[in-house]
Amino acid sequence: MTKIALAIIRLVTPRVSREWVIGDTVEQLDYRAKSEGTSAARRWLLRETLRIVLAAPGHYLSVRSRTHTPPTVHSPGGAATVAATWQDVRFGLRLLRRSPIFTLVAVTSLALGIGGSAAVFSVLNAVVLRSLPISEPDRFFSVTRRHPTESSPRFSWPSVQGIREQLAGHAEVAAASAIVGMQLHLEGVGHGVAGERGAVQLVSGEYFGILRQSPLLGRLFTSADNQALESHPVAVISHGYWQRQLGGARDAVGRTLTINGTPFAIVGVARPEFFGTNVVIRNADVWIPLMMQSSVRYATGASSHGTADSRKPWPPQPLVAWLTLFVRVPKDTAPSTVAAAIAVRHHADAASIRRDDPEYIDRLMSERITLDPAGQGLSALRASASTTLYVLLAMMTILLLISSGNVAGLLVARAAAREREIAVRLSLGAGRFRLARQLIVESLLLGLGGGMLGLVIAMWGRHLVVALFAGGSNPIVTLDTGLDWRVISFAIMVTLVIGLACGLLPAFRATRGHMVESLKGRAVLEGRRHLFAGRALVVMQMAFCLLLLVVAGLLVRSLRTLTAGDLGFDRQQVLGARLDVRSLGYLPEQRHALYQRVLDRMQALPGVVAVSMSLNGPLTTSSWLSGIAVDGYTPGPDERMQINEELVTEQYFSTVGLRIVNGRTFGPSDRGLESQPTIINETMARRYFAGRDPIGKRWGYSESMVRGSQAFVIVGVAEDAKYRDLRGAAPSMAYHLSGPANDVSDPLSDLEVRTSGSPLALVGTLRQVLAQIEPRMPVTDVLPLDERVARLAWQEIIVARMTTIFAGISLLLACLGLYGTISYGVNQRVPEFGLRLALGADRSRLLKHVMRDALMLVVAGSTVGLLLAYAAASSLGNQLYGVGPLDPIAYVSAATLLITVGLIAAYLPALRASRIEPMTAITRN
Amino acid sequence: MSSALGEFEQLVLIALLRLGPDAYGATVRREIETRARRELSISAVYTTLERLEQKGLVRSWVGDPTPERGGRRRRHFELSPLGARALKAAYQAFAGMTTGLEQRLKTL
Repeated sequence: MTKIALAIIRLVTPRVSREWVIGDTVEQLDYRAKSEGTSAARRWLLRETLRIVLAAPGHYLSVRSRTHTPPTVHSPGGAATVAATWQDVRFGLRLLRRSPIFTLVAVTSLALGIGGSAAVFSVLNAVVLRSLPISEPDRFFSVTRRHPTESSPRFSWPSVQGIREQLAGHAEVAAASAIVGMQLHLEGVGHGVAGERGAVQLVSGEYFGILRQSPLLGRLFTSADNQALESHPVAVISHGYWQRQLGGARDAVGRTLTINGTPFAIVGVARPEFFGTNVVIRNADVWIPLMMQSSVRYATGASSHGTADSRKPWPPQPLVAWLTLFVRVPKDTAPSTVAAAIAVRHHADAASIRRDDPEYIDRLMSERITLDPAGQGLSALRASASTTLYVLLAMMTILLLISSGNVAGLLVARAAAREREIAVRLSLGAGRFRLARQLIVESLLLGLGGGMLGLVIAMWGRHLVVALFAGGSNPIVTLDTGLDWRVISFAIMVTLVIGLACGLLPAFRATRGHMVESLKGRAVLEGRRHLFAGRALVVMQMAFCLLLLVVAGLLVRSLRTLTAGDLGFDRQQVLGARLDVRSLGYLPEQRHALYQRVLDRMQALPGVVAVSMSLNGPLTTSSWLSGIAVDGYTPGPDERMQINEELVTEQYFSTVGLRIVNGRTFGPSDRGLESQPTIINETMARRYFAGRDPIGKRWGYSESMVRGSQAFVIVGVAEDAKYRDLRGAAPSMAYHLSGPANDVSDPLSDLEVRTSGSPLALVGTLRQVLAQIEPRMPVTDVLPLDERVARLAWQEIIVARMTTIFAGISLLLACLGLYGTISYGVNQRVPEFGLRLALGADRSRLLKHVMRDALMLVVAGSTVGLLLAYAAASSLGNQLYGVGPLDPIAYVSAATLLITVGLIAAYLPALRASRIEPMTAITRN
Repeated sequence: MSSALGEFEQLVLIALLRLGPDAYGATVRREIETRARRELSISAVYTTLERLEQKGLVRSWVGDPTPERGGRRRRHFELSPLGARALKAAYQAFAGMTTGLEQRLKTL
């Protein structure tokens, strides 16, 4: 910091004085540090640097005059240019101060544009561009198992250990689970009975080491934390969690944190800049050793095969793959070498457990291993949100162009008003270059003001953008969108470009002028000459505005098709809720008793038509995917037979409004049966039973299961429904009846209630009843099913909403530009119009004349805009759903809107033109 | 030297008078900052000193390198006889104008 400041001072100080100026500064810094402390001295140095920079031109002049060289402003080069530019800056500042309204309008509109784009860019930077804050991020990789038909990033813990052994001495290895929400309860911090939700990640002891992290307080994990199952009840908390929940208490280490009912001792606090390996809106609050998986009932993102039992602890099981594998490769080693070594070990390990699931092992053996750069962190958000962010950035940039069009228009008008001043200066021998430079300096000053204010807006606006993505009210955001060098340079670049762009046009226009005419005062019919530049600007603004209007129209129509379309469910009058039964730690029998109590109590409420529970529920983000075999169906050579499964209670289909199109629904007679009844959906029936009646057919997870007594028997076919993906076709589904005999490791987590009245009226009662049944059970997301659709389409909603807002603002700005230009033109032509009226012209014809003029601009802009819009819409590609890039409704309504609003904006000046008093008009000059 | 002294020039000259042989950029600035209570930049001090030197009111010479400045040399300044006269004239004008007004100036 100090060095940079001194370097700047050195740079701006005349060479002859450099030595003592720097010396005095160093001495004074030292003096201030002793008397006021280091930080005060540093702040002083900042102020001093700024002052020296500002005083530099004067200093240069004084030094030059000492050597008796007369200062010349005509010869560019050296100190004279610096001094002259400085003069321009001061002159420009004086002028801007003299017209505060103009300055305010110009700076604010630029600031909004620059700030908005910088805000979007800072989020884009955090999500898409930035590396993790760790050392040598380019040597940090995640490992993927690739197979011709499917890839998986998950490994079992025995497999991770084998790979670590294989790579010992060559590369470092660590593993981590997904980040999941769990119930956290801090000792001595009141949260009520259930505690609060927190994000927890399970990691291997090497995790922090491979990321080169050191603790802020206490310790982080080491290999010693991987030793024995369920015997490492220790936790590291994030800096954010420490601040939020413990108020940054120094004695945090050693306190007890209960996670899903199991007590953990906090052993360390991570550094503030560290947020783990995932780039998400809300990152892990707590890290615990993966050996504690079963203690906290972690059950997410695993694929299990063969003899695996997901109800037993996962770490010792080689057939439960649930961990992401990270590798740090030394500088002198090629990632491909490491990948090859991992593959060898992976295949060897797979071969040794072949007897447990021969089919699965065959697939493992044909997998390739690749290392994917993970230095930027893993991010589902990056994959899903980067298109959205780029679209927003593009829209924001277009808006910025439109608003800078207005500023350029204002500058052109100002330059025209100053024509006489400029002509005088030209005739007194000022260089045209010098004059142009002065105008450009002025617009750069405006740009600079806009840029600085814009950065302030960006500081605040980026939280708004993140909040849009996070959804919900007052979400906890740990995504770091700080303004780093990339954001700052982006803002500086935009500022310079905009500042230059706004200034070039008026500078060019003004200095090309005809000196003599301007000095004489203008001729009656001469005003038109100024208009061309302003009119070109308006056409550009109209074009960009139409582009935004069309894109907004397309996105809104696409969103409507997406969310209002038929998803299969009867969504009206259904209330859903998420229940976290897992955190209660119930045994299977207790769970089923709980389900029954919930169903019975709900059913008895007035206004309730039907109640059901399910494993994942409709329109949520969870799913249960399985590979299957079907009686009488032979798959193609590379065909993957994969379906979604769902576990439901008896009334599920009537509650969510899915018709049974063939066979029957579940009934009381299905409870406790030896055979396992299932209901499949139409898509699954079409695919695996084309031309056959599926009722009574059998299926299972493997050929042997289909032939055995454990096979599933199809009793019915239900209507298709979309579950997670609103865009694609409905997935193949199979529904099982939930019951003690059919228990999987995951408890039912979704409650659905069909109501006779508004579902919202039941929200309070539902919460009350659930709290009576089990006060410890966390209940979240009590929402009508319609709201779940909105949650699934949140990205589309953000983009459509933001683009609509941008389009509205751009319409306003563009029409202001049009109004200004037409108004200015009418003002310039007041004498001409007066003359025409005096010579007997019709007032209504003058009105039409001005309106026709405006219409020409709007139509010209719209024509260009339609072409731009088509280009933009075709690049939107998969952002559109059910609407083509040439959707006529969007184009026609956008053009109609623009022309209508444009004509309204032009009407006022046109009316003024038609009401001119001939006598006052002619005598005005 | 007919041209009147600027206010800041007066402050600088008074600082030179007070500092005597200790007068160089950093001490002049410190003197003005602590006594006149205004923060100013070192380049403003040098700009003024250089102007005063041109007018012949101030003389300067370069000293030896000192360790606390990282081996950099100081540029020392002192009043020239002309400068001393100009300062005296300025003071007399000021004192003459303010005679009898001391109490009122304090209570303004």
